[in-house]
Amino acid sequence: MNRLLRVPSLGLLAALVATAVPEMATAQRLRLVVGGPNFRPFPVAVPDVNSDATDKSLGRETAELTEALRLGIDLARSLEVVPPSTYLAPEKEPWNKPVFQNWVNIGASGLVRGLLEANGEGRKVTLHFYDAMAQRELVSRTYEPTAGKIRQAAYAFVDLIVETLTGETGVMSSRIAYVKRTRAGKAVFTCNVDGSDMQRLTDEDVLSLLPAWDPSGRYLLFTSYLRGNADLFRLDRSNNALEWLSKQRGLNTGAAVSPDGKRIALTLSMDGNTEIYAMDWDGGHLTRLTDSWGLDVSPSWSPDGKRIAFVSSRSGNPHIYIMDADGANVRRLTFQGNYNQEPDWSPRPDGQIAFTARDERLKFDIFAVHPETGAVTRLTQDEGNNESPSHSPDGHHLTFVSTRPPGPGRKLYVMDVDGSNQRRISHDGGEYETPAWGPRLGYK
Amino acid sequence: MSIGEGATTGLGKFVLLSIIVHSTLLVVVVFGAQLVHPRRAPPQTVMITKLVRLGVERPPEFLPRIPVAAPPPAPRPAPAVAPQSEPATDSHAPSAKERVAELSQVSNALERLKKQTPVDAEGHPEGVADGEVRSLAQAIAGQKFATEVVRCMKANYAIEGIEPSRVRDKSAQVLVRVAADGRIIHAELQRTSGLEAFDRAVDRAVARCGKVSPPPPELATDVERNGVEVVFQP
Repeated sequence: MNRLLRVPSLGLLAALVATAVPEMATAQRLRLVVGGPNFRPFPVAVPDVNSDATDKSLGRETAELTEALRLGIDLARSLEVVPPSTYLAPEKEPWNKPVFQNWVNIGASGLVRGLLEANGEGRKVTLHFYDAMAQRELVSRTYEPTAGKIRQAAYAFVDLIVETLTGETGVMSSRIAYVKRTRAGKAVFTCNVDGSDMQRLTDEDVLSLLPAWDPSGRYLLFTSYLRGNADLFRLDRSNNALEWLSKQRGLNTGAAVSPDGKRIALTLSMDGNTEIYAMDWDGGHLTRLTDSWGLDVSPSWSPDGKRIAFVSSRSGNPHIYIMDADGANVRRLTFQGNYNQEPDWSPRPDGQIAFTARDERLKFDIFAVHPETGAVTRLTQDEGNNESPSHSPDGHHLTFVSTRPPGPGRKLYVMDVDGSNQRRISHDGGEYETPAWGPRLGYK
Repeated sequence: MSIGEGATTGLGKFVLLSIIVHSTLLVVVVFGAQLVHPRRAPPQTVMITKLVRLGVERPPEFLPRIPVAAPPPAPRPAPAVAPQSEPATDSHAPSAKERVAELSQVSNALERLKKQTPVDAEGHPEGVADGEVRSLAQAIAGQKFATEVVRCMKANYAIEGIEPSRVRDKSAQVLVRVAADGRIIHAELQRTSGLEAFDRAVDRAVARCGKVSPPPPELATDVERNGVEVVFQP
């Protein structure tokens, strides 16, 4: 009995007892394998930012800075805010010498602490990000924003946190362009990704539609009836210069700039039927890409710039199609539903194409289709009409408009690309349309 | 009486006699069988069934819908008479089923070992004094310890802030030294995954584990001195 079980060394016993995948280590140590981790957002505690107690004027800005930090962290797909109601008296610890165990105890893996000070006419913001478990600082920055631009410091720091943790830059420096109904027309606006700082870019009394960004974020293209026809204009955001880019007879609409910024795909109806064309950045070399009896509209470039997704009704109903950038190899991508429109190709190399579709209940919702397999997944459901998806520059989020309650009209929303974390970012009751999530603009 | 009438009467008697005989035989067979094999009541097995409405299959040309989770079942009413309380048990203690599975694993490992270990393997033919599995109980104790370590690490193994696709081909290795009382007294990242978030998850899993069940006496010296290599993978 003994002899049967006798083995030559402790190492073999180690191999014998290992549970998951027992292996012999070279040093004859017990070797265990642990797999199947949970994946979850990085929980970050964001206590109130401290401020110079002698300067009462900083109170409102301190609250704004704290709110912006929490909003930014909450929006980042890789992060989540630990609920402030669980914090254990953060005011009792020095703002720059945290008692890490208190934060670990409430489930925080990360901690942001900050100080806002007056700096002459401007402000000085010092922010630290700690790994609470390892009890060490991961990154810190000091910003000197002008008064009223305090949120920019918070967004820049959130992007830095995301980059530190994931290696990918965050998207808080980007802006969302959209069309909003005005008293006498529709105008193009932009706002921060949390809905703050809304700025109108076009005339209030003119009908302007379908904004699209160039890859640098300097230019916005849009269709406007400024000269009586639906023409394509380009706005230089650096100096507000407006350029009349395409003024063909009929519609000049639905522009999309290629990822390298050199070509513009757009829809023209100068031949009587709407077709997709491409032209150079300066408007030259206009090339017709589609030629069908149906409507061909809404081009969207693939991230490598080699293909274009678009909508065509050539099969009888509008569906999503793909073609090469020169118009060759047209392939129908969607076969489900009978009213699919507004494709937006993710900037990620393996990304999806988000689109709007009307289901059998005659409700519009957001779906995504894989460009290779054609597999369709649903992202919104049973909450009003949801339309016009547009990907964030990192491909992790979508912005869209929704008629869901409360209140009438289309509101601006963002969500993660898998349909989770849907949240409203417009709060003024306006009527929003066709949002376009712009590129990262960086911080000045 | 004609010939025809006589034939008819004779045939009638024969038919009548035949009916009587067959009827008698039938009665004997039926009741006789009952007497020999008395009829038993069919088994009264209680089958709990749940009626569900089978939905109509979604036409393939329709767009997909997000499956809506069914509402959680209503809590069962408490029994009128409280069942006899059982002695308190450790909720983490393995169930009988788990113990059987562990025994089976050990048995399989022994079989593999017998097949894999060549007769002329290096080392002392009689083994060494402190390197033996002298009994199945000893092997089980080692197995239990290893299971405990893996279970504890796995329970605390969470990668935060990055996409699963980014760790697909990554792994990290930690050397852990465990004291005789089960405390993890030393942890050292031997091989980094190359990803900060992954390594942090490994550190956290080991740190949050903190203490495991004490190693069996036969392993205690080894796991404290040489340590245990723990490989973390996706």
